[in-house]
Amino acid sequence: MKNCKTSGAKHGLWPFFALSPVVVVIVVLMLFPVLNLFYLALHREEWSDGQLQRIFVGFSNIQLFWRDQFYWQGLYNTLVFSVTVVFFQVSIGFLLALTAVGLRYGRTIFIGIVLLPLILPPIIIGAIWRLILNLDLGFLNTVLAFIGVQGPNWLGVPSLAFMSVIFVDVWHWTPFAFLLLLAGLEALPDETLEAAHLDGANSWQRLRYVILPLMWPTFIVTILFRLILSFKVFDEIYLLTRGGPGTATEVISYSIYRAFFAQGQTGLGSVMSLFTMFTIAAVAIILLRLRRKAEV
Amino acid sequence: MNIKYIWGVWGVVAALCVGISLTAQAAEIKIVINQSPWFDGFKKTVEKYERETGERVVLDVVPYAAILEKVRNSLRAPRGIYDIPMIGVGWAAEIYSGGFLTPLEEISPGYRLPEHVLDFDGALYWDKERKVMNARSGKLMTLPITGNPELFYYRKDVFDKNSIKVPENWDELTQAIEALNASGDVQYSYIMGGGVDDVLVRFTAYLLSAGGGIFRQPEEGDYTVIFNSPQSLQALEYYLSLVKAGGYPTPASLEQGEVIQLFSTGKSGIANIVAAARGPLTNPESSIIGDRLGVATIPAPAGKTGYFVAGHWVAGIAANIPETQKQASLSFLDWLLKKENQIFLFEVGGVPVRSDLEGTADDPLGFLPVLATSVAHARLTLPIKEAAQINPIVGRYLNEALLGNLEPKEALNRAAAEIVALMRQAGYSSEVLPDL
Repeated sequence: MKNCKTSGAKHGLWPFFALSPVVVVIVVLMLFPVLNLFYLALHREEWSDGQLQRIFVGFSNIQLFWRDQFYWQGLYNTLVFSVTVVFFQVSIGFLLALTAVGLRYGRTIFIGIVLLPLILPPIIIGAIWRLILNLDLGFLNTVLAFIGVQGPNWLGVPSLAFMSVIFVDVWHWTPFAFLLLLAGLEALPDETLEAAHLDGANSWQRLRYVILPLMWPTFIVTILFRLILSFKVFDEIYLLTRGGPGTATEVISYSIYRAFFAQGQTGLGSVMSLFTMFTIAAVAIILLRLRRKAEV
Repeated sequence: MNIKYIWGVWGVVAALCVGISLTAQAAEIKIVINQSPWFDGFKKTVEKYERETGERVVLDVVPYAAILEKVRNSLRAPRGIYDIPMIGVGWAAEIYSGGFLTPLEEISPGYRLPEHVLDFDGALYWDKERKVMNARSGKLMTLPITGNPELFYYRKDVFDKNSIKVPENWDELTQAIEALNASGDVQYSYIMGGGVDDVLVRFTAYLLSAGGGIFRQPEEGDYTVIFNSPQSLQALEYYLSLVKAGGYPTPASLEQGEVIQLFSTGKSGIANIVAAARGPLTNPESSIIGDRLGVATIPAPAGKTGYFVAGHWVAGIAANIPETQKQASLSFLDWLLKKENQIFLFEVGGVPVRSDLEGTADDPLGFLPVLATSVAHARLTLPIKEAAQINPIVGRYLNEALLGNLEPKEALNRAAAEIVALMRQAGYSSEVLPDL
């Protein structure tokens, strides 16, 4: 410690000067937008004669936020959506990763096929699934009709619409979980697995008592990434259902979009954004603590 | 260095400068416009303008969902990208109140709305003091581009085959739907939009014709919320019964694009669709029922006058563009409204905005008299800048009623309560009727 102090004194302000570019970047790119959100949350924007006026309104936007009819339903839906999709994505992704690790032939082709949904632009995914799920002209209902079953309106019945967007998100993002988990599996120490094998552990025992415990930190990271990203889901909802029918597929990103862009309420949109940001941050902190515990 | 060479270089530079300067003088007019059923007709008319005048018009065509943000961004900038933004009636008040447009009489002193051009219940005028659209007290801010009220499109062949009378009132409409259902000639007898973003526009004809509304008399400053009046309830109950009888299984998710698709593929007997859909509906390349189509005004309650939503588009001239561009833009818009050009617009699939075209244009469908009646009774429900905030509230509760999640009374009461709270927060003196 003494050495450090001596070193600091010796170098004077140089360490601060050296770090300043990074600090400036962080402040400009990360802190400033958040501070700006706080500022906007306390103001109402009015345009008059082509000039912007920001009027201080105190906590009025927070009052609007509390009684907003879309956001709270959106938050509930987002929580259910996130937990469900992350569960399926991580589970299916892990099974696919185990399959890929075990493949002797065609591994590259298998990985390429699994990753396909991930590389498609969201607009194409929206168009593909909208065409598949259309009531009258959709591919799915055409196939069902061929076998004598009348298909439902997948995007028109509230419960089905919610399940449909969950399905599309799982289809879209499972490759992401697969990729992280495959990297985790490939990084497992060979000697530990071989030792388990030599000790007579069968495949299930190796998975249950060796692979899963060792993979736990990777699972936490995968869950963390996917949870944060699924909280921000927007494109699939916008392209498939626009939050409807009713508020069946309303999610917080869509509520924020509506407030900012359709209703032009920047103050309300800012309060929603801040609340969402802190909610996601809280979830991330909890998961990171879990990961730290797992590593200990 | 050779003196001739130097003179040569200066000559080339001078020629370039002259060229650039001439190009600047003949600057093109830039218009941001949404992709819509009426766009093709508008585009062909613009091409006619270019041929006749030698001027160039650039159209930036964007999806409907993106146009508002593009318009806002251009109008709020120190120097606008677009000379003429196309403005939907739902958010026109926001643009007017922001002071983003130049009143037309400031571009051309004494300019008035040309005779016989429709004013859509005063939607072209803005009263800056009272912050409301009003033809009597406001300034002319925009010119109409397309008249787009909801119309009653029906399958003439199916109606004729089953001897169904084209309905003029609600009772006859109910009978027509029953007859269509009994005939089995179409999959759905009656369809109209019901999605969150769509339902208010589709419901408005029934709401207004029944004597209901959102505000009592907003153009005169009376913002009493009447959305929960007995008349509004009557309209909503009738609308819900129509949607149910119409047969489409999930009307709460149905949006205009799908309604057009279902009707043009022959799956529906009747559809409430905007006037602008006439082009694609009669085009054999996009519709299989183009020659079997009929059109009428949306029926009203027996003995009452039918009123319709003024779902039109207007064009303004940005305040943040040079004076020469403003002059050029006004010349173009004025040209567009001339009778001969409106006839051309109609004949290439557009929706005209003049009241004196009947009998002058080729109109086998009998579209023009229907359009004239609908536009003459078109009403603005939200002529204030808070329209963009009120629309989602009303849309959500109507949509919940369609889904059966809320009783009609509850949906109207809750929407009314939220509207009045929003209006008071925005500084209006607003009251609301007692709960139903």
